[in-house]
Amino acid sequence: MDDKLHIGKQNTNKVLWICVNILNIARSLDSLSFEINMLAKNGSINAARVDRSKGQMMVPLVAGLSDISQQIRTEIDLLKTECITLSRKISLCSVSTRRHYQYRKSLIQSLNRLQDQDQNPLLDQSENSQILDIFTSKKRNTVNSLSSWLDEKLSDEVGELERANLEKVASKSDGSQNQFQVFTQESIRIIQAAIKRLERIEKIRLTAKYVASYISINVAYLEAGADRFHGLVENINSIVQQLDEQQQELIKYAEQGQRLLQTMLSQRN
Amino acid sequence: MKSKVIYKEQGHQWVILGRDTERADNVIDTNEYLIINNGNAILLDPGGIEIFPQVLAEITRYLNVEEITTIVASHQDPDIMSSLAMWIDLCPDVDVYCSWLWTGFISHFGMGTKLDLLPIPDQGMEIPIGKSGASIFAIPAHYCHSSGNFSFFDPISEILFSGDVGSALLPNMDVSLFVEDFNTHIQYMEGFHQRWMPSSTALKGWVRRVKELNPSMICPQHGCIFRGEDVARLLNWLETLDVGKINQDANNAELNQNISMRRKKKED
Repeated sequence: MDDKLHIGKQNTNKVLWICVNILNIARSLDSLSFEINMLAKNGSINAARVDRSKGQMMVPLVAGLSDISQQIRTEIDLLKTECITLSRKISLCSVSTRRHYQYRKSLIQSLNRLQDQDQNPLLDQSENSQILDIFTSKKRNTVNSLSSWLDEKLSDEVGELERANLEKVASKSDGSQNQFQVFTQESIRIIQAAIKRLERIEKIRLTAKYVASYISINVAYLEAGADRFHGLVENINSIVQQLDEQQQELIKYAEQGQRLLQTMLSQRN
Repeated sequence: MKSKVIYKEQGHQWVILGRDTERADNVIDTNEYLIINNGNAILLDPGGIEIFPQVLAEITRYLNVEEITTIVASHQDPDIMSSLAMWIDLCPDVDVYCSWLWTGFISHFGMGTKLDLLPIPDQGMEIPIGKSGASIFAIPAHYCHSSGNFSFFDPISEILFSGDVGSALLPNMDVSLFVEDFNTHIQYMEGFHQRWMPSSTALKGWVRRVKELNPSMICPQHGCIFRGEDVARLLNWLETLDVGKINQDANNAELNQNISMRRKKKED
């Protein structure tokens, strides 16, 4: 059991670490969004400077950049909120694991004591296999398993008071186990929502890339002032590339977190 | 963990839980006490999170856990209170009392549960044992050792739970629950009091208050229980004990030398 708890703690810590990483990358995306916004403003000024008829087609393109900046910011803010909610849920998973462990350990100690009082103690280890059978019920109903076990093994030794207490502790053990399930499933849902959000950010990134190439094409038709837009296109492409790298990193972390959470859930089933 | 009824009369009983051989070696042994009065119970210093399973497993022998109506904490240390969230999870309606000084601090033991703690004012107070009609009294023990500290006196049994006062670090878990030879026992108490108790003045004040109560037993949080003549022996010994002793200059030269070396490295 100690090993299981240890692995459980390690996994929750890993998911928390993943949350922190996603949060940090999301914060750095904020600055990219700001840079896109600045490029949009500079682009608007430059579009106003070029020949009126030729410059007109650049205006909606650079205005589109401003929209892209705003869209990224909105998605990043939501991603950050999801990361914070996920961290909270993971902490609750950790708390319910600890609670489950404490109740379960208490039950095992009580049952071992009762066995020691019996004429034929089964085993003297703190966790013997016959006691552990109580906790392996597929339906996760420790109370029922415990009752049958007590009836079968120790029917004469257990008084009403102790039986009621043991059943109460077993019920709390099941309750904390169920809470763990709920919090882990909620965490999985949040991380899946975060992955979908990252896919939306990817679409926005592709739009920015498209705008950059469209500006580049239009620049070719400008008779004067084309130099002003070459830098803009280069900067947009550089940001799109940075966005892509960070996006890949975010997806890697999010998928890793999802796998860990699914492992945590399956280990408890 | 062992448990034993140390007082039982007319539906009122005291149980000590301690001498836990199953705890990890790095976890200090503690005594937890349970007062049961006609289906209502107070748990005195419920203990740390590391020993919660053992304490719960022992308590289930004496009462229905739902009958625990009250928990009191002598002070804020983790070995006193870090299991609190578990107890509140198990008994959601329990009243928890601790010094007003520590309510905000102990709330950090919440583990996701909101802890609504009832503050004990500096001058102490009467604390009911659920709806039994019986009460215990919080007796000020400030700076013995914590700055917001209480002992608890039960006027029915005349037993005083003294918290860390009278505590001893025992050499092994086979030592009797009660002090058998006071003079021999001093060696296990002396260092503890000299280092953990910060103020001789505060300790003398506590002794004065406790002498007025004239308890039949003094039950500390670590070590052995004092009863009979040993109660007066303990109080007299504490009255003359010089505590808060530490060599203020110990290792200073070595520390200062190391700090100088680090500074020099930074400059280089």
